[in-house]
Amino acid sequence: MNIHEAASAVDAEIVQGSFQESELTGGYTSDLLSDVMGHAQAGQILITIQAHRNTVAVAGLIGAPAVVICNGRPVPEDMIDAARDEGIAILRTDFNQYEVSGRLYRALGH
Amino acid sequence: MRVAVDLHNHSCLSPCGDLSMSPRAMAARAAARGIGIFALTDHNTALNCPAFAASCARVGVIPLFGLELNSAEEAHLLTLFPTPRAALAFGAALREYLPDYPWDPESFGDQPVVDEAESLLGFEERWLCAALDLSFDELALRAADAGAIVIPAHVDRSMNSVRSQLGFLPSGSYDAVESLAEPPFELTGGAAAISGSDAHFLEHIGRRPTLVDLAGEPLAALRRSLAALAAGGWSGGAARQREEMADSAAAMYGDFLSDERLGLYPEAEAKALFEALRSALREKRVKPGFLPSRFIRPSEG
Repeated sequence: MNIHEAASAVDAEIVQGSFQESELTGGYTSDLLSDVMGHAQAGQILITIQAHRNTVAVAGLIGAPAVVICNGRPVPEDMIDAARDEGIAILRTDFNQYEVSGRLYRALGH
Repeated sequence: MRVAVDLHNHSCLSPCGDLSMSPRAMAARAAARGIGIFALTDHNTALNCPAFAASCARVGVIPLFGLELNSAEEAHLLTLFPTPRAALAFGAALREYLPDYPWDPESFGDQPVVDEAESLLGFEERWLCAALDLSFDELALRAADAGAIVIPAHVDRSMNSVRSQLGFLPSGSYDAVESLAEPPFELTGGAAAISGSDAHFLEHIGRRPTLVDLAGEPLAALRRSLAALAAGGWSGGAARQREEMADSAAAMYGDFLSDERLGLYPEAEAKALFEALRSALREKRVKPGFLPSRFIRPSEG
């Protein structure tokens, strides 16, 4: 499943679309960036409500190609700008993290 | 008398702090902005405190020495101390709780420790914005035990605040809470709410000061002692003590704490002023400079 397919799977709009398409290896659901730093793997989509630019910095560091912001949280401009610079996709959905995790887990066949 | 205090400021050592934020440049800016009491609160570290002490003494600004701690829940807490030694001891003790993540200065920013003359002493090698392996409550307790003024940071912000991370202010004993706008009662726990600049760039310094009502004598006494110290050319200690740059933050803490010159800081006057400030906070003799709510940007509020 690639990033565009993941967006469809969770009815997400793509709020930062400047990125190179890639196959997701899985997902990681957490709202503590320290936890993401310690456990998330390259190729995973980050599933979170932490809509701020530090999330993008951490995604870049661990090699997450995309971030999905849940619960319809607004995505600030500086987060979008940072993600554009790094080529990281930002998706935004009204589903909550449980729903997003479940849908993506199933879609990825995990 | 009323004095403008700015208790939340980052130097170049904080990875998010601009490289222009040397303690020397910060102190000059604070003096220009009329800040009477100016605190350095880098993320999870106190290593620029000696340079900050010397720099503030030189320009007649009263320094306080602190750390903005990042708890395990990723909520920030300001902890302030009266002397560079007290802040360094606290920072050194907490460093074992700072995880050793591989990190990239390109993405996150450099973390330079500098002296009063803006010379490089070394780098902190662990990412300073990481969450410490201690809870918010534990950090507040340890800080209070160490004699700190304890102030939950930006309690109403949309990230790294007790509101964003916990949804409430944990019950505890705080000298004040810091917020961007006038906070709701449930985020104050009955403590006074103050404003702070959270300065990461020079132009941020003094942008959100709090006016505090303090007796004049402790301020005057400390100013006199600091002026005398500066006149004697005090540099804060450990400047260029080593032939090479320090190879680790642990080594730099050790160097500073074992440097006798650090002991020249006027401790008695500093503590008197510090306790006068604490009383003013606890008795709510404060007039904060809050943002009007409509000006809070999504990334801040």
